[in-house]
Amino acid sequence: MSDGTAHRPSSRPDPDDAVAAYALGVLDPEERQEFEAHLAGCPTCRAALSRHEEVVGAVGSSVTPVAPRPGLRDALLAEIRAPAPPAALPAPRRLRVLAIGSGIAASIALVSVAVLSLLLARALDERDEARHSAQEIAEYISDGGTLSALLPAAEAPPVAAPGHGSLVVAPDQSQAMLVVHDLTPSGDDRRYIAWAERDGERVELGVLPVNDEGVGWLLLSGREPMSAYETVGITRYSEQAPEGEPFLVAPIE
Amino acid sequence: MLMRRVRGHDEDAFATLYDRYAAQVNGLALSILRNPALSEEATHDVFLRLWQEPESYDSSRGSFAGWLLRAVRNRAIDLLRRRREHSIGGMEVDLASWIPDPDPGPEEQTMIQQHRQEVRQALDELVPDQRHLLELAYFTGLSQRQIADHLERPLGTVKSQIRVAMRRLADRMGEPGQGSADSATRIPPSRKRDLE
Repeated sequence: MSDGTAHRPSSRPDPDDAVAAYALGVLDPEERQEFEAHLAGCPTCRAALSRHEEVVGAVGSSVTPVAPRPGLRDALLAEIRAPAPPAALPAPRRLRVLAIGSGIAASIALVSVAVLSLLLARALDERDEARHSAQEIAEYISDGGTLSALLPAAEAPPVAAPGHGSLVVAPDQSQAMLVVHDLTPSGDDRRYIAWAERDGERVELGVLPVNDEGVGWLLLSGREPMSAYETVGITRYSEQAPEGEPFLVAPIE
Repeated sequence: MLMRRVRGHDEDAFATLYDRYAAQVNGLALSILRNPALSEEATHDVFLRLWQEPESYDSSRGSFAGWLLRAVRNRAIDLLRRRREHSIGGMEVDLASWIPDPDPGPEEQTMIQQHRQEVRQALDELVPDQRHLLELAYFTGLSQRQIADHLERPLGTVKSQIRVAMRRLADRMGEPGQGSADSATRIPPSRKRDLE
């Protein structure tokens, strides 16, 4: 433990207070920066920090274990076995859809129902609606529905939360479901619109709400079967960036 | 050994680590988030990171269990802070319920129970005010300044009480026979090398 006096003159806050607070992650951002600058040159505080970090872990171990649902293990193992999708692929015409090769499609199928169910559970918590939607997706897949990755459009401008997701189309093509995550939440000044496109024309499918966890989903029901369209895409509207080209797109298989 | 195998993308080793730690990781996330869906998200994210970035665990910087539990705590607090839109008054909860269930259940092994009890005992030995402040700092994701504002207490007092509580726990856990995170998460010494 630092003695709290030898290191103080060059830094604020007091290292003796800060080392415990830093280990707990409860310093304000400014204090954290100052302490990190101090820490770089203070082996005494680094040693003290190591001890305090062990305490943080030990306090966590005092909590009674609660096993997660068995489905989480299955979803994780499916996820680590699936090859990672490529970051960017060549852009074809119109919506600049990221091409999805058979290998990627197969990997997506591996993570299909379990992962989507998990995403929906995350998105909607424990509401009945989530269970219903997860069941709906499971039925789609088992009845021959298709699943495509919703990936960043190749020419989309870089943003802090580019997001990704999936598009599930029902076997009879009457409906589809979009699930997205890692997006900036919707708000008064930001909204997301889902579109379908064919022959260069777009049809609005609806507003896609994105919750505080960055997750959103939307059940798509068009007047025409989904197979009448070539792609589904999402545009983002905000005051700083007016609605433009879709930034996430998926082909309709 | 297990972590070395995970670094080599051994799925069985990963599954073994998951089976060994998932309940503890999820239990801690649930204590912070109070929401099963979110705690499973935190658990998922931490294990996925373990697979994708196994080098982020450095065995020279402490025990594996301690690292893993710190990782899930950090992730859970990130989620909690993102979720927290309501006023600080919304954090008015029964903090006693956040700390360890006094009845861990018969399924827990005797050794785990013993080490968990040691950590709980160390917490119990803190002055109530220090423990209260430590719990706020540990489980709510509030900064020291927010805690001081919330309790309408001087910031300096909050800082010093948290510092004293952490130091006492560090001293207590440094005593022979007292639990580190590893000992409290079912890792007998003979199996610790299994993780390296």
